Amino acid sequence: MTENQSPDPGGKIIVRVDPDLEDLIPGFLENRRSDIQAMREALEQSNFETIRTRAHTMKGAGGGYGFDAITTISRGIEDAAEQRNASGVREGLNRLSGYLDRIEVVFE
Amino acid sequence: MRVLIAEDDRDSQALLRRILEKEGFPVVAADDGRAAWETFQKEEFRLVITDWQMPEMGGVELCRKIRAADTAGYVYIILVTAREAKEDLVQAMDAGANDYVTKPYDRGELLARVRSGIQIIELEQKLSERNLELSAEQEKSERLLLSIFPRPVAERLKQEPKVIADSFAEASVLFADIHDFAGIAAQRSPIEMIELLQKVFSRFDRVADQQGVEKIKTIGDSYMVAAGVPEPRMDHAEALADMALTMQREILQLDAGTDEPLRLRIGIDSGPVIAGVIGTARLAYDLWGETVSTAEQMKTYGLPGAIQVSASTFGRLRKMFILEERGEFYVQGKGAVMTYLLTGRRGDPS
Repeated sequence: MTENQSPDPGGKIIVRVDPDLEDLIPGFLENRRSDIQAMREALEQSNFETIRTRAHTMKGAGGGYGFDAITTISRGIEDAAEQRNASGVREGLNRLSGYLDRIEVVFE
Repeated sequence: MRVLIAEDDRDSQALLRRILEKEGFPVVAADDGRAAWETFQKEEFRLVITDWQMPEMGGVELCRKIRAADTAGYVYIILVTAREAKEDLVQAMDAGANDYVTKPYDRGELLARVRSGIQIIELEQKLSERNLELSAEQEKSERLLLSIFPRPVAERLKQEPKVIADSFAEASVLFADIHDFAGIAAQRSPIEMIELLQKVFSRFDRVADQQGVEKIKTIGDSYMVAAGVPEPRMDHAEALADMALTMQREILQLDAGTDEPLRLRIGIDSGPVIAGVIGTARLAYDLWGETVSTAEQMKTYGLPGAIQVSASTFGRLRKMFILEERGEFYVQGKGAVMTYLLTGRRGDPS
């Protein structure tokens, strides 16, 4: 999306993050994995409100930490949840999960 | 400057805290509006950054509560909102927020808004300090004005500075001076004389204040006081009779450094007067009319230690006070008039 996230040939996505935030990043990413887990469970119960709220919060946090893609993907999930679009939510969660698997954080 | 942040999302809260702390701002974080409000009430904050949507209490309600609170200084509030929710801003500003930042946070923008907030807090601080100084100065000049003019007259002069000359059909005027002032003065230095007058007149001023009568001025060793001006009163003669009796008692108690106590001559007359402030420089509240000159003559031709009153004052006092006839007396412009000596109040133990 922006210059600090560039796909690299090996499928890795390099994310450049402010060194001031280094100690916060593992917890931040761990929380996103919990979010995905929680939203998948909510999706099974068609609990779109929980998904919408979680996505909204992620959207607000992601870009601030340097993960603009999390904000972008979360916006898609939030919109899909609002329309009770299960496949849209699933697609967004898959994108998010794939993104988290591929990122490599560089502090600089 | 300490910053209070209200943010329910742990990640956003941690990020906000980190950005601010890296810039040297001590941060106190609350997990929702209610917790922030409780913290705010316990400690003093001048800068608050609050999320819009939070459980328990949202940012808008927190804004309203802070604005309604009686805070020591101005509190600058920055509201945090989602980037696309611009319509929320009107509501936020109406609720008392000063500024907003959007999430996700842009560090540079956030800090710029914090800096601008701090500038406003500091300007407000200076302004309220100035206002405090200003009202202290105002109070000083107010006190000065009230030491020169009776309150109703001071109020009128403040409203429209023009000539004040009010007619009063009924008032009383009292003059007093110190018997053989020249003789006493001859044995003292001018400074000692002034100190003595200051001592005597200060006592009289206090008595006038207690009796609710209006001290007008002093001329040399002569002291002038009136009742029934600037606010009319029915018992103006009685008020000055009490004033005169108290002055005579006070002067006997005063240690003037003389072998014998000082003795006062006091004169009172009652009748119509004009009272007001005229001229443009060295303004003073003064009285004019025949009543004023008669009162002065009652004093001048009175007896040391005595209170001489005119027939018109006598008429108003006879029921409540003890008076004795002194005899006929020639008053300038009036011819022969009967005068009386006031010696006490009826029913007084003395």
